[in-house]
Amino acid sequence: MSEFDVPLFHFSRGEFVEADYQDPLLEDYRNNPLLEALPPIWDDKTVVNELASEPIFNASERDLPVHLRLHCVQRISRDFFRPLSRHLELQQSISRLIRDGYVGRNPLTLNYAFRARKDAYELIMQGNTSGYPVNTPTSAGFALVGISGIGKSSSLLRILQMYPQVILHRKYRGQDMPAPFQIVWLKMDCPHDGSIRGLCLNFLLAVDSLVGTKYYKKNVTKNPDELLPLMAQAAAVHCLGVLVIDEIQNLQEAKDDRAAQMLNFFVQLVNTIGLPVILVGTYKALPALNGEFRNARRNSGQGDATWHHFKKDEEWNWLLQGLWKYQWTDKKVELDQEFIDVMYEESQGISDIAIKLFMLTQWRALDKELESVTPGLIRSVAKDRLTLIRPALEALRSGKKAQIQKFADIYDSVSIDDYLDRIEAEQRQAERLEVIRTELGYDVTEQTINEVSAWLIEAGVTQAIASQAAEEVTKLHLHELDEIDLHN
Amino acid sequence: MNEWCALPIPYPDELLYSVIARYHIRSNNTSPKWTLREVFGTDNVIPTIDLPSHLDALSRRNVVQIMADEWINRHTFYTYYAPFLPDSLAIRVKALMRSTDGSGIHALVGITASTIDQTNRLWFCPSCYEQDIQRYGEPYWHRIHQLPGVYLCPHHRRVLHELTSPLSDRHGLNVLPISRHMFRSIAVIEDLPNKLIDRLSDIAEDIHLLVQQNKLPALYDLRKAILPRLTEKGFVTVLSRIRQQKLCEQPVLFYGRELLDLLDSDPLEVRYSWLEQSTRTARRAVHPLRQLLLIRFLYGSFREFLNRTDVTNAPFGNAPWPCLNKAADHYKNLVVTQCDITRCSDTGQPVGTFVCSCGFSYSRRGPDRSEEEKYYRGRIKSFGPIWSDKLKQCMQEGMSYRSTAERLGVDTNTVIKYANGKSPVREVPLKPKHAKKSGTAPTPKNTRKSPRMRVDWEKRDLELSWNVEQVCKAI
Repeated sequence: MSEFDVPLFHFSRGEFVEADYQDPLLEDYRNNPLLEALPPIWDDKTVVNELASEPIFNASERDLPVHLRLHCVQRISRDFFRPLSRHLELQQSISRLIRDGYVGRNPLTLNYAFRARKDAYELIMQGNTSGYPVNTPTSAGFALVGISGIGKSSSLLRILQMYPQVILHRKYRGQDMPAPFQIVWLKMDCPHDGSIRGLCLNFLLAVDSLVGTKYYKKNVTKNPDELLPLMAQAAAVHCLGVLVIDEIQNLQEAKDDRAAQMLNFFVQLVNTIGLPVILVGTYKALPALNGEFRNARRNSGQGDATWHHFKKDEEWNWLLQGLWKYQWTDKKVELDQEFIDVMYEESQGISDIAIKLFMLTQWRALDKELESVTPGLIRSVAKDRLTLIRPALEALRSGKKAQIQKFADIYDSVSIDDYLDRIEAEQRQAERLEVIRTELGYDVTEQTINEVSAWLIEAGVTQAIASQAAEEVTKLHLHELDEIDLHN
Repeated sequence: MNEWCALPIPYPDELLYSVIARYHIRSNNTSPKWTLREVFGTDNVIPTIDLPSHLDALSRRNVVQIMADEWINRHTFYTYYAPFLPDSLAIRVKALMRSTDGSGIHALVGITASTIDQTNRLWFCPSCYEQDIQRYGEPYWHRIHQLPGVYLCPHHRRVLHELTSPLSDRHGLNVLPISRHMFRSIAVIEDLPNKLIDRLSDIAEDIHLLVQQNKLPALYDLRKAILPRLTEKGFVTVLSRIRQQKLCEQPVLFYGRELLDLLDSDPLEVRYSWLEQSTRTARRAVHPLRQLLLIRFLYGSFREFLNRTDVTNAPFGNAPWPCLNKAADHYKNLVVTQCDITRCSDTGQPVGTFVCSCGFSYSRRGPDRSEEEKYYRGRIKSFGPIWSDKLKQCMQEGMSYRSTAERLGVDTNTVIKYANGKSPVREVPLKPKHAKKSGTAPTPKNTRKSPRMRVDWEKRDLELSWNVEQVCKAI
């Protein structure tokens, strides 16, 4: 029997590090130990390399017995991750969110001492802080909404884990730090029977776990109205950079007319202590997230963060291209338009489904001792194994809002397809895709040619001859790249 | 509860009790027992304002590294009481404060037996309150405002206020709230005349200076330190005894009884006044406040007192020095308070010229290397009237030159010289009686004329009356 009398929210674990202060390069970030202890602000190139994850793969594994290859396929689920333009955007939003929130919360300033106090909360809530040397926090926070399986949670966690979770401060430039613990991020997942009170208590439990306090034990009997000030104070004392609440639609309050109460709760978190909050959920949570939180979100200057299922576009191709390498069937098939079409048809652009479908198809091919995956096999597997979600996928395929609305999880009525926004977004996406290609070697042929050419030039061959020779050799032997990994 | 605590960084002159109270409000503990357990490792402890214990445990459990000694020296009353205790006792008190058993601290320091009111109460300066919020973001309890004898803020010269509500019992922790609307307080005294305000402000400044000393002054045996000043002010008899009655009266006139009543320090109210204790050989500790009252009466302020004793370069030790006038009744008594130090142009060594109020002055080359050297006489700079009169008397009695010289502690030739009508005021270098053996005595280039001496007329009358009596008997 659990020692806790509330449903547990899972919270993600990260890294615990000692503070190492670096010049943040931006004037408004300097002289703030919370900001100087963070990793440097990353460019897109760095983010791509950090986020990308590839399963172990060796073409020779195709010669292994079937029962071993079945396990090889499992690696895809565990290790495959391809950063896309939406991930880069999300990373930048989070980066700005955390840092912007810390600007006004320097523990070496009066503001920290004021906000760390329990009795200050009353003044803050009443708006009676004009006589005090405290700054007004900039509202910060946004919602990330999308279909289940679109990669919201996994992407978010990967991005957060690029940061340390807890930073320990001892002395900053010879000066004792009033706040020894800085919790950079905290991500909590709401269970199906969650409630706001459960959220509060689990928050305290998580903080206890991260920094060794005992908030939970002392306050387990309190109600949400009593717990909110406590959350605010704990977040202030321990310099929480961002609070991520995932599966927000699971909160009981989100399911009925208490949504306003829930929203007010989060707005208070953002407004009272300037704590950035990211709410993550499926379309089911959207009605609740309209109104106040949307206003809070817009005030923060962050963009709309609704993630839709993929369109059958360049990015979708890019995702499949990366996935397609990992085939452990007897024979590898190349990705062609037919495969692209059938994969999209059967997954409707939901990346999680597409990946699972790819794995399921390989498992069946291996099981049936088929030589390779085929479009027909994909359709057959989808028909057999994705029965439960077929109606939802059919609704997506129809494109009719009334149909889609029947399945709350894929309801997307809030999608605002503003023409100018779309054009700008597409341009940004194209630029980011270019970065991704450069870093991850999208054009294998060209990259190989360049590399072989460099070898020849280094050996003394003139550039013109080297380029031509490299091109000829690569074309002749491109199919053998799977046996020899030139780029390692 | 937590196995550690992250005490807030203490503010300047913040009471440790205040730091713990701020931790209490910062950690949002409902029960003070939780806080005490987190801070001290046990809740079997009363949060003491003045001299807390368990400070080693507190220092160990605190994430921020502040040594126990720093807490004791900067954030408790230790530096208020310790200077007036014997060294061994002060050390023992500090050890108890670090230990987990502080039950004997108050008795050792004398707080238990003291007649000065020591009730637990928390005072603050309204101006400091506003200033701290603007300067640090929050208010806090200042140590200086809690020390006995402090009724006015030494910084703002403003009457202190006492927190009246909300107040917890002695097991609780009282936080100075963030807003004036959250608590009530009253002025600790009202309707003070300006004169009293000035006095109380001065006393607060003395106390403030006392507790800020990095090196604790040794003030247990205060008599030694203040004897020269007592002598100078006429509270010491020729026999080096204290004129206790006069000493009892003068400070009362100086301070006024209203003030002394307020400070629980009226010396006339009890049979054995604290002033007698302060000026006698130390046998028991006197409350710091009373010692400071006496010091201010004698020196004008504690700062002046410190400046007197802070002579780090004292080649001839500190006042008083002995008078070496053999003709005087106070011969070899420690009555000389003035010593002018110059540098020998030949050897570079310090030369001290000691001037007694009887007119006798002598010099000696230093620095002194032992206590006995205090009684070495180099050159005699001037003899003074008492010596001259004694010479005349010996001549009239028909004593021989040799006997007279022995009687007066000089050379026979000196007697011959002065007996033949030489003016005693004229200064002539003489052969030193106890000069140390050296190859060549330095030849003085200039004989510095000693400053005009102020004659102690009372002493002169005494001497003359004796002479008159002798002559009458002869007649």
